[in-house]
Amino acid sequence: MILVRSGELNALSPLFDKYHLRLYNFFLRLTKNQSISEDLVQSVFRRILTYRKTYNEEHKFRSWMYQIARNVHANYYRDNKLVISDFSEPEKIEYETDSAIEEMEKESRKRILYEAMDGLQTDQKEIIELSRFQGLKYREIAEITGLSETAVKVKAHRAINKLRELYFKLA
Amino acid sequence: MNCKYIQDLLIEYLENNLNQEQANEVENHLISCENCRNEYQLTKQFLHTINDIEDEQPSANLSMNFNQLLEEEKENQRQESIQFTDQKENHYKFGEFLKYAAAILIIFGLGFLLGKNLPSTNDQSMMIASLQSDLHNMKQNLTMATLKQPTSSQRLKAVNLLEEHSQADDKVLSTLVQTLQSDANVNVRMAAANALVKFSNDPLVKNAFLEALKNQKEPSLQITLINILVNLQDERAKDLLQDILNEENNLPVVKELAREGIKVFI
Repeated sequence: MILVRSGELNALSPLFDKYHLRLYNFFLRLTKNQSISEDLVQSVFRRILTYRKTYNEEHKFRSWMYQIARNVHANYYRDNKLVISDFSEPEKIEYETDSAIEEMEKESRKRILYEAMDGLQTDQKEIIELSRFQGLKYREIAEITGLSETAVKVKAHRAINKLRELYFKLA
Repeated sequence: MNCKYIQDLLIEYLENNLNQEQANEVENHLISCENCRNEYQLTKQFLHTINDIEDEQPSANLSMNFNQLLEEEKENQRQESIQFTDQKENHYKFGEFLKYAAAILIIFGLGFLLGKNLPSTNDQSMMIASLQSDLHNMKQNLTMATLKQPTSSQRLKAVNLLEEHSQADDKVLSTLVQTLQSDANVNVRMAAANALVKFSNDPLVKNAFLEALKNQKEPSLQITLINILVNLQDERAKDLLQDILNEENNLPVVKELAREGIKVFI
């Protein structure tokens, strides 16, 4: 990223290769919409380019990127309160063609989990996403969200327990 | 024992995040409470589901759009480096305007006072001309002093000002050359290089470009210098470009540009 900042734009390609899949899934689970998620990933990288001069190497690129991703999602959420999901369609096709019972169960558990996540508040969803699915440490999440590490820990703990309750209600 | 309390600890317990004392509490409770044992099994399955989530693949559009975005930005960057100084200018114009307005007011005030004692109109216009040239020198000296400021943004501003307002006198040029060679900030060095393009007929400036190409290792600056020297068609640059090609640490883009440059000389 230091190279990108100094004007070597090609250096962004490896960063895109490394992170775009994770970012895409980050947005996918928050928005449940594939084309919107692709647009949002694009927005993140556009912002990275636009604000490349403000990148500060004291922070990890990853934290900085998730900070931008959170803002992009918050803006999107603010502008589009009504979200239409296109998530279930390709899912269904997979589900019907796959005959293995094991796979079906896994899929249905996954669907229940996503449904349960809909019952969470946005900030709880986000913290589950960052701590569980993106595998970030509490310290990093604290840096991204501007909360203290203890607050993040407490929030993550509450969110996961809430999710567990919701999940059991649906299961 | 409170079942709710234990159930809240289950996730931490399963992920080994509890201290020994709390872990013992949970274990003892699980032995005695069937309800919580069920809860424990369900939680285990729940965690398994969470950890099992696989990433979905985005469509090919995503990578395609990214590459397009990158190309567009590179195009912007090329144009920016051409218009670099113009754009910077607009941001601080107003502050500079005030500064000059104040200086001009003071000097005209002085001129007026002096003018009162010197009635001849011919003398007056000569006086004004000499005051104007004084003012110009003052501005220039002030700007050059700004180049010693600690913050790079101030130095950047000064370089742009020198380019805009100066005739090619040796003092200005040598200040700019020194900035190009040794300023701590790459953007300031870059601005100095761009400012010097205007005076590139001066042999002193030409030498400075050659010297800089030899010493500077920042890719963006190397690219700017190669472009300048290729445009100047100075034969001496050829050997330096060859050196850049041979140096392993240089970025592929820089080397590619150097290769193109050498072709122009042949």
